[in-house]
Amino acid sequence: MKRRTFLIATGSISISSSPLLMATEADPIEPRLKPAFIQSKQTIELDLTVQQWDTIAAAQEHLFPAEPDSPGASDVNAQDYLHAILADANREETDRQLIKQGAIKLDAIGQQQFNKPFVELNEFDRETSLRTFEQEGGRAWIMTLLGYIFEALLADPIYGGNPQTVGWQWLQHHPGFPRPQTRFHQL
Amino acid sequence: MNDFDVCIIGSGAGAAPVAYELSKAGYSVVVLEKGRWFKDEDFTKDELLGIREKFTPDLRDEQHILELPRGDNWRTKPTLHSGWNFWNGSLVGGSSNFMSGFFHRLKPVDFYQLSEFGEIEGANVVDWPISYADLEPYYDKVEKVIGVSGRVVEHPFQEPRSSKDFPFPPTQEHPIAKHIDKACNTLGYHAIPMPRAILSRPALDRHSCSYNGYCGSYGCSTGAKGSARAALIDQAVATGNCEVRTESMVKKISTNAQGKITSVDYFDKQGELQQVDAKIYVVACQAIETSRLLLNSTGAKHPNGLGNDNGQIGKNLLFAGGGSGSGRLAYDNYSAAEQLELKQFGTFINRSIQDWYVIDDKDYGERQKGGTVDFVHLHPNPIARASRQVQGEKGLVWGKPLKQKLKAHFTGGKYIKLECFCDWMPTDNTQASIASGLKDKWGIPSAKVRIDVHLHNLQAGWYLADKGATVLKQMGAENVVAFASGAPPTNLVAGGCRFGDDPKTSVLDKNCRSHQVENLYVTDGSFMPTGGSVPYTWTIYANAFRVADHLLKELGKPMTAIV
Repeated sequence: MKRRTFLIATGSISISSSPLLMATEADPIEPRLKPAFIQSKQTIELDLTVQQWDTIAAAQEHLFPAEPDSPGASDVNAQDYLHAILADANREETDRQLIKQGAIKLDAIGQQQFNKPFVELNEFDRETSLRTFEQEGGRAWIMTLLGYIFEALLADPIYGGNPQTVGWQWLQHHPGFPRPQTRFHQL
Repeated sequence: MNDFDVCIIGSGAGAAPVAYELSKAGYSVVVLEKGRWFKDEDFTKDELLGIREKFTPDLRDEQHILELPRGDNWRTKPTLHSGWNFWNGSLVGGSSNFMSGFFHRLKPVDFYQLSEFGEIEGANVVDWPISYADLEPYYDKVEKVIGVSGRVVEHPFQEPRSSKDFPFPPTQEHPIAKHIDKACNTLGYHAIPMPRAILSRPALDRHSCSYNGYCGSYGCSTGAKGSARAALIDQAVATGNCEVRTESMVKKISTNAQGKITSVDYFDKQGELQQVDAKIYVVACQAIETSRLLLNSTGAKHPNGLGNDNGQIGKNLLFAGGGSGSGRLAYDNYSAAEQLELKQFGTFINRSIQDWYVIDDKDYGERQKGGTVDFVHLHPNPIARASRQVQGEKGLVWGKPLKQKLKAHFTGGKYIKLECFCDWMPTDNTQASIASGLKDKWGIPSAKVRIDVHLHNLQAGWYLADKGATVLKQMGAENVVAFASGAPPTNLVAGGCRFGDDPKTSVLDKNCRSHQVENLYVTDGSFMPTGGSVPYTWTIYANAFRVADHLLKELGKPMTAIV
């Protein structure tokens, strides 16, 4: 019986595949719709303070920094993208709480280790704080943030990230066509 | 007078051939589909459609209970937040909208595995009540009606065919195919062009493939993919004899004192309970949901569920056994011209090996069933691919190291993936039943899925994956990995209502009619007593066409024939 337990993975898999889109070179792709969803920060609506949002933005930029030849989190509107995700009424409250509590914890780690909130730390200390958080229950928070950064980087620009297809161009990725004319919510 | 001649529950690959054939012959058909009716133009190549599960139910409304082995007991958990999802497409055409269309027929030996190889301890292997010859005309029909493209080449396990070649030439091939052919020639293997349920030229009132690169797990935006929706339902409706009622969730199939079906009760889009009746009832909701509906449809004559006196409904559920693997051709190892070829996008690899469909290898053991190795592109979904780069050896990878990893993954080489298919051994413990205490948003008791894995699945999976890996290595691929997996691919599911000649041990007769309920047929993959070592869809289509032929004879001349 123990053998059986070992044999079954913890999650289901789906057998599917289709061709990999690889550009022969990074073909220019025309900018499409402007990101329409982006609003001012609705901290009351989401029960997140400005400080918590700043912590999240700083963590996003540390996890996915801008470099001279490649976009960072802020270049792909990662914070606004995350805001839209959390503001979605269909989202479960636990998802919002995960993000909020993670920001609180990360700031607490900064205070504990360096007597400063996360946003005031230098790059080295931010790394230390995030590695501490990773070891102390923050793994899901970090992975969630990275997951939404990847969506902001690589989903169709119609969702507000990937401006001028900057993410696709950086990774020489070609989208499939037809591309969406409406967001999936409206389908 | 009945409302319709035939009532079909479901609209996927098991349902649509019946709707197509009977409506064309002039019978009145109603199709009850719980999902919506999306059109070709709705299927854009938006990765978030899949990530946000737009075409499957919200698990908060409808989920399953999963049971996995834990020691000598079973660990039970709901699928919500579990990482598991047994829904594969709730929409007109069902999950066939999202198939890759890797189309292989079963081989003659799949129909008599017990006779050929004997019993396997812990597995309920049986012979089928029909032979390959019985199903061959319908495989042939699927090639022509659904549209299968390919090229027949001789190889040790080429099955008999009534048509010399496929009706449609192969879809365009990626240059990587010639690398695979060369490696297989050196190794003495037979690389064969993989048949695809994809039109390589416009036909059947549908467009041909646009080679846009996003095929498997995406709906087809041109109609080239032979989904039940594009290939059959649209045509059935065009006859004027087939009505599709969407967003219609069947609650129960009702029976009279004699045990015969009298009507189907379903919730319409507004949540109102409706009723429809017919002469013949066909259930095809995909294996798990078919068993669930039958088990929920109790009646005076059917206290254990509809046609379930012997307790066999839901038993011997099948997934697909096998393994997978991958390798990478680093661009640096190739000339500029070769790199350009490797970087081509949109076309298909389309290569398979079936040399080990039966393994006759003394080093492996007695002669036994093996399976199929398919060579395919890595799925292009960039968000999913990026997400897989986060795990590092010493924790999560982020920052500049993550970005370097992403850049190398996306731009440094060409990945080739192996998908290996072997039989999922039917066992007492892989089964669907009714979950106690869990209901869906309509208040209908949900299904429980118990999963056990037979060691044989993994042994064959390892054998096939290892063989596939030798091809990748011969091609000069780096980072070659290959492995068997015990995890069931939840999109490849069959069984639960196995057909057979003995009413004590099977649910359906050889025509897929219930042994106990004379006006009940099941035409999805539920009928399969063993799965074969290929994806199921072609066989589901073929068998449903076979049952439709039987129904045409049973029903006699239609009362409302339209000329």
